[in-house]
Amino acid sequence: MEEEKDKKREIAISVRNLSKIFNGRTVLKNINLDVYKGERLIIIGGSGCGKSTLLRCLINVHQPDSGSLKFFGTELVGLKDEKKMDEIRKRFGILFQNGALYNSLTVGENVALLIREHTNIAESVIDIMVKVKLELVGLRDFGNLMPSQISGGMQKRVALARAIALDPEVLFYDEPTSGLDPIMTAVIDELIVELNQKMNMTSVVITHDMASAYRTAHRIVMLYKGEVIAQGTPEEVKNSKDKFVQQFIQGLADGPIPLRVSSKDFYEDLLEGVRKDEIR
Amino acid sequence: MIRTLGKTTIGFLKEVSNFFFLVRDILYWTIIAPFKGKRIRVESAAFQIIRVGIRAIPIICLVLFLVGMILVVAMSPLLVRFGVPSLIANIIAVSITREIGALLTALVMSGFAGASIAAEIGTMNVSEELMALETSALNPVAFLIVPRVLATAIALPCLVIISDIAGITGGMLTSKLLLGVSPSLYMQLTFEAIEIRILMYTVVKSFTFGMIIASLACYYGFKVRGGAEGVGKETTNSVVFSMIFIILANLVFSLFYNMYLEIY
Repeated sequence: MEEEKDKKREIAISVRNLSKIFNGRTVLKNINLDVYKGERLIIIGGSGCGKSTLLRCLINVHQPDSGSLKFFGTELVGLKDEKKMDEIRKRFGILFQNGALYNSLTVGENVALLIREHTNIAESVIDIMVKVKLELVGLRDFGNLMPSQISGGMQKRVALARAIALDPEVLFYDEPTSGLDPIMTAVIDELIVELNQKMNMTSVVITHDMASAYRTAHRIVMLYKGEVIAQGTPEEVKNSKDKFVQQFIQGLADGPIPLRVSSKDFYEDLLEGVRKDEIR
Repeated sequence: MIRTLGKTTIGFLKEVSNFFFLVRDILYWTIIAPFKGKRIRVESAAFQIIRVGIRAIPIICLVLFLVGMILVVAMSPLLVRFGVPSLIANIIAVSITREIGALLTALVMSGFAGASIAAEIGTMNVSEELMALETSALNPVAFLIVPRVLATAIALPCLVIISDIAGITGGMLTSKLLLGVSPSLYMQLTFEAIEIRILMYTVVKSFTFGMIIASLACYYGFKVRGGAEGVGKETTNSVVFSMIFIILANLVFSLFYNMYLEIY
């Protein structure tokens, strides 16, 4: 039943057998993933599992080494035409982990920049648009301040206002709640849901914050060591029998995901120094 | 040993080709793109001229004023011995306007403007601002680099002319004190010594120096990886390499001047 429903829905982003290798290390292995139009997809996983690399492949900062990546039907892997790529870039927005606001521009100018650069809208209308976007994130009065003059949480909200300046079809969020207090986390979560519902923006969120994932997700995808190990609704993921998934979503210290990442045995490593002395 | 040598050579060639790709992009966005309806950010360039140019005037004037004094102090015993103290005006005028003014101004600017541009772009790189630009379909070269390169290249000749005046003034005051050459005679001889072709040569040379400083600074800014340490490392590289390239370029310019512009 669910699958049939899926088939009818338009696919915004489709990822097939996508792999990425850095310096001989496979960071992403045969990723298969569909993002449906209008949905909120949350990608979860521990540090170093490849979720940031996946995001960077999705926004075309990294070119995958193999596989296919389609954005509303247009293949992005191997796309050399910069003009075409720029047209696609205008259709998505990104909220970067640390906001990435342009520090030399005011808050208002940050939001106005893309509208000014990519459209021919009159300045007076741009002013109104900037106020509307800032009001959406609750910071209308802060337009004249510099990014360095506002708090980290506010910077993130301004970055969100900037990301939605051109009303993109798809919005990517890179760790939107990391480093924020619980109230600000809830505010950002609410904004993610609100933007998706009101403006029908497809949302792809990268996070490791499970509370936030449950609050916002239509579907959750879990990555581990560069592979998709679970995919489904929050309920399905919660009820997954996979031990790795359970350890991660319950936040348990003990489990199959190793705490230590050293390749050598600890005692061997300790004794190595003693042996070297003996040889001398 | 051979492997290390090979690796170093390949690394060096990669650096050179990356730098030339950047230069190609800068030239494209400065010369070709405006004909395709993509405007140069004039207001951003003007802002950068104030940032890198106007703020540097006091330090450059001070440096050249002192250098003018030093030259007079160093030359005066010799000129007195030969009985031609008033020749100091010609020596200062030619040496400062032809070589020293532009060279020293460019060296000071590689620290003043180059380091500031490299650190700024490097920090933007670390804080994902460059990625934000790129993913918003805004080309970082057109948006950030071209205004900075143009600003530095336009500001430098102006700064060099100002610094030449400061150097000549420093020379004039010291000549009066040490050699008793009157300022009016000094100025008359200075104007006789400075020729249009020297000024043209200086302007072209300092314009080139400006391009070298800004494009190297942007290149190293783009290269920054891994936080504050990376910013520091590449900023130093930017200053060191712009100094080396400025001196090399100056040598080439001097040889060219002697071959084609000097009248013996």
